Amino acid sequence: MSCGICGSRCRGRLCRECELMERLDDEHEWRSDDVNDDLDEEDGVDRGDGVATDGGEVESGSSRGAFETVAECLGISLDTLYRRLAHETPSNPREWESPVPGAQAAAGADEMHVNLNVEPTTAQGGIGAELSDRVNQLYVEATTETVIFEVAEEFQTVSFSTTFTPEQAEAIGVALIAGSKRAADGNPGVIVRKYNLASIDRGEGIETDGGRGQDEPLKVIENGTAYYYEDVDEPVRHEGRIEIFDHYVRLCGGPLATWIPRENVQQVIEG
Amino acid sequence: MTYQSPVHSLAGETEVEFQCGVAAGTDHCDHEPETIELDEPAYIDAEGMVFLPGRPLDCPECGNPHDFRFNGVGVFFQ
Repeated sequence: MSCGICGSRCRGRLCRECELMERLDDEHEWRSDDVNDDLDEEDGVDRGDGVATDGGEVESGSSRGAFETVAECLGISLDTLYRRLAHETPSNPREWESPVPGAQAAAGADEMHVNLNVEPTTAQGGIGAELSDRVNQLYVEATTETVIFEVAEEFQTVSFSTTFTPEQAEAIGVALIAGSKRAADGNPGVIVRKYNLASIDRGEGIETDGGRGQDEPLKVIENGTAYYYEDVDEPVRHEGRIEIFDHYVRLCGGPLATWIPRENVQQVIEG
Repeated sequence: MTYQSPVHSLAGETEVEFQCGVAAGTDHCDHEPETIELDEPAYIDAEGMVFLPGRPLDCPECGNPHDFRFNGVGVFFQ
C-alpha cells in the first residue's frame, strides 16, 4: 500500500509523516478560523474563511514577546518568571505518574506534540498547554503566581485530574519556556512543536529524572529478522541478534555490527 | 523439515490477538491482549515481511506506534 499524498510505502491511507502534517495543517486551520472569528466579533466585519487579516493593532502588539508581556503584567523580571516556571512545582504532588513518558521511552516513540498557547492578556498571566500523543491528552495550566501544573488526562471516555510529579512538571516547564521563546519570536502566541517528554533537553542546571540510560537498547531480540532499506527499493534482510535503540537499530551477527537509522528499518520480526 | 518463522502462522488470519509490545515486555503500559479483526487476511510478502491490513497503528493505552504482538509474535514496525 502506498501513501495517498507522497506515494511512499506505508500500511495505511497515509504514511506517518503525511498523516502528522495533515493533522498539523488541520489544527492550524482551526486556529486561524478562531482568530478570524475573534476579529469578526471585535469589529463586526465578517472576513470569511481563508481571508487574511491586515495586521493592525493585534499584530503590532505581538511583536513584543508574550512572556515579556506576562512579566510586565505581574511586575516581575523575565528571569524571575522563567525561574518560577522551571523550578516551582506543587509542594505536595499526588503520587501519580503519567504512563506516557515511560511508555514512549520504552517504545522509542518520538511523537509527543506540544501545542502551546500563551495568553499574556489575562489578569495574572496564564500559560496553558495541551500536550498530546495519538491517544493521550494532557492539559497543563500554569499561573505565574503559584505555578501550579494542573493536568487532565483523557483516555478516550475516561478523564480525571491530577498533578505532575516535580520531575515531570520541570520537564513540562522547560518545554513551555522553550516553546514560549519561539512564540515570542514574531508569532502571535500559538505554536505547535514536537517534544518527547521522556528525553527532553531540560536545559542547563536542571537534572534529568534518571530512567533508562541512553546507551542501553530499548529492546534486544536474540533471534529475529529485520528488513531495512539502503539505497535501493528492495529491502535488505538481516537475521540474527537485533538491538533496537532510540534512533538506530544494531544488526549483529557478522564480524562487525551494522547500525541502521530507525527510519530505514521497515520491520523487525521476533523469532 | 525446514525452519519457518512463527510469523508465517499469521498468514491468512483475519482475526488475531493483538497486544502492545510495551505492555507485553514492561510495566509501562496496561494494555491487555485483545482480539481484533483485520480488513483483509494477513499475508507474508516475498521478502518475508508480514502485512496486517487494518491493524491498529498504535496502542490504545499508551500510544506506542512501533512494538506489537500479534498472536504472540513480536513485530516491530517502522
